[in-house]
Amino acid sequence: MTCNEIENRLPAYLEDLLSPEERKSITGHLASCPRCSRSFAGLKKAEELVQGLGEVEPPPFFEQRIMSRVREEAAQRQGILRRLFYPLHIKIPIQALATLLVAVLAFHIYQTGEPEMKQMAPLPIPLTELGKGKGTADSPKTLVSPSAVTPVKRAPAGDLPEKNQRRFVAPPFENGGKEGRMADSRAPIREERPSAMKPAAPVMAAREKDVPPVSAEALDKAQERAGKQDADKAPETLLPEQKRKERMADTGAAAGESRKTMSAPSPSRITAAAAIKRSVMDLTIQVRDTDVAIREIETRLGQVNARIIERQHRRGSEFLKAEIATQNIAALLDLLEAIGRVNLETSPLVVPDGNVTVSIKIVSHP
Amino acid sequence: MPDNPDPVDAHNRTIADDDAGFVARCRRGETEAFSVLVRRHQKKMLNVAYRMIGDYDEACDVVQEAFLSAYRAIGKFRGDARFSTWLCGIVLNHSRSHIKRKAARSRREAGSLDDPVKSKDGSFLNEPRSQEGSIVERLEKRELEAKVQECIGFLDGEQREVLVLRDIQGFSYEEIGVMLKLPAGTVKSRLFRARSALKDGLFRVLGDLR
Repeated sequence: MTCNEIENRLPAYLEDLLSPEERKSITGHLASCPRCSRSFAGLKKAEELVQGLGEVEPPPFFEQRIMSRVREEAAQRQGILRRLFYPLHIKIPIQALATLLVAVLAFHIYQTGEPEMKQMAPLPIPLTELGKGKGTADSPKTLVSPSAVTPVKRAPAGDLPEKNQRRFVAPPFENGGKEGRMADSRAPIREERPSAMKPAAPVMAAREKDVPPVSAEALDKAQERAGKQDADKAPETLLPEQKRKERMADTGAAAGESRKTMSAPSPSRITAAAAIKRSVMDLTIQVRDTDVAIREIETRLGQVNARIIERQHRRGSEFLKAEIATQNIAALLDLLEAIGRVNLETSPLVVPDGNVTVSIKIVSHP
Repeated sequence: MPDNPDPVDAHNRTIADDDAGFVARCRRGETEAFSVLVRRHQKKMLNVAYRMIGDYDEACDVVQEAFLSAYRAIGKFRGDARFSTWLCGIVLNHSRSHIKRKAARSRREAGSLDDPVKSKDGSFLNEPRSQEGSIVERLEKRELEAKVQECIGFLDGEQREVLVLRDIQGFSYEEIGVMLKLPAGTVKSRLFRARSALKDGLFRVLGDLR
């Protein structure tokens, strides 16, 4: 090996990282070469000097200085979250955002609950008129909470003809009435539904008492008279009418029978509502056995010339959608009542000669 | 924590680290746990930075920044090395950046008359080359250390790092490899070149080292 090669290997030699042969060779060379020997000594001395370098001490309060910076940093991080809620300049946008959120939610809730809200519209006068005529003989016992119906009864008379037409729904009265009767502890909104659908109720009451059926013309006349009536008289006349409905609940057959009469007044009332396009009716029927019930319902739909559009099965419930002529709705509801308990979810505003889409949800209710 | 960490076993990556508990507390947001880590490592980190930079005050600033960086990034510390090794890597990074900035600044400014000037062959022209007597006799210890530090400062940055970490701070080759992301063999060869270069530099500055 040349002196240069030896010199390059001296650090490894110093750390004892060479093979025994190389080590022996270098040891021999160092003994005979003053230049390499001096280089080796210099290397050892350099290492010694470096390792002998003293340690410097941190300045006073070095740890405190570092930690104050670290705490500052930590406070800044926490501050981001805290500032969102504490200082006003950030809080105001949050409040504004919250207000907006509440407004959007309220609008959404209103939209969702729209059908029920509409049902709370003023009570048609013809009902009160008829109720007064036919029902004053009845004792005024009632289970219906007056607070639930009062707003309806006090509706301005001027609004009545139009509202009456808009609210007219042929089949749902009985269902709504039943609900009101069966659960008198229910929320007023549910109670008011039958009241909003008054036109048929007097007819049913008349039927029940074996009075001659009320014709469409008679109803129209009654309506006209109602327009002239003072609206304040309505509360007096409503109670007997409600009572009559209760009695109907006691005798299911009577209810079914009275419902049949509804097809008579319907067309005449609907005429004015011809422009209203909504023609979907959602109803739920509670039955013991959905499989049996769905077959029966299909048969019944056939009997009233309804055309089944859709059939679905979802989470233990059956869904049927059918198209039916407006005049057959009442008949269909009668037939369905015989199968199970019918609850009307939304009622259609129908066109007189048109069709209505009936969406039936069949749920099991042992 | 031991002053000289045990070598990391390449085959067994389980590393006993006395700092692990405090690191975990810091990660959970306990700022005060970090003060223990600062107390434990401030001196070693300061010495690494000082030997790298060669200026005490600047080293203090660099270490302070490095600790702050470590605090910010402690969530990223995965625990596959000792905390001290990870922290030393951060100090080295900050030291390197500082040296670069300083070099750029000094290029823009006029060089000091006291600065050693390299000749074409790399020797230092303004250094005395006294050959008389032993170096211990010629120079006070403090002066000697200053000269050694100066020579360390003239080393290439990569060589300086391994020399400071191994010969001054006593880190193992494996730990240095982790810090510098280099294989242990490369660390060794770089260290040997650093030692030879330092010896040559000391010859030039101090004369015969005997």
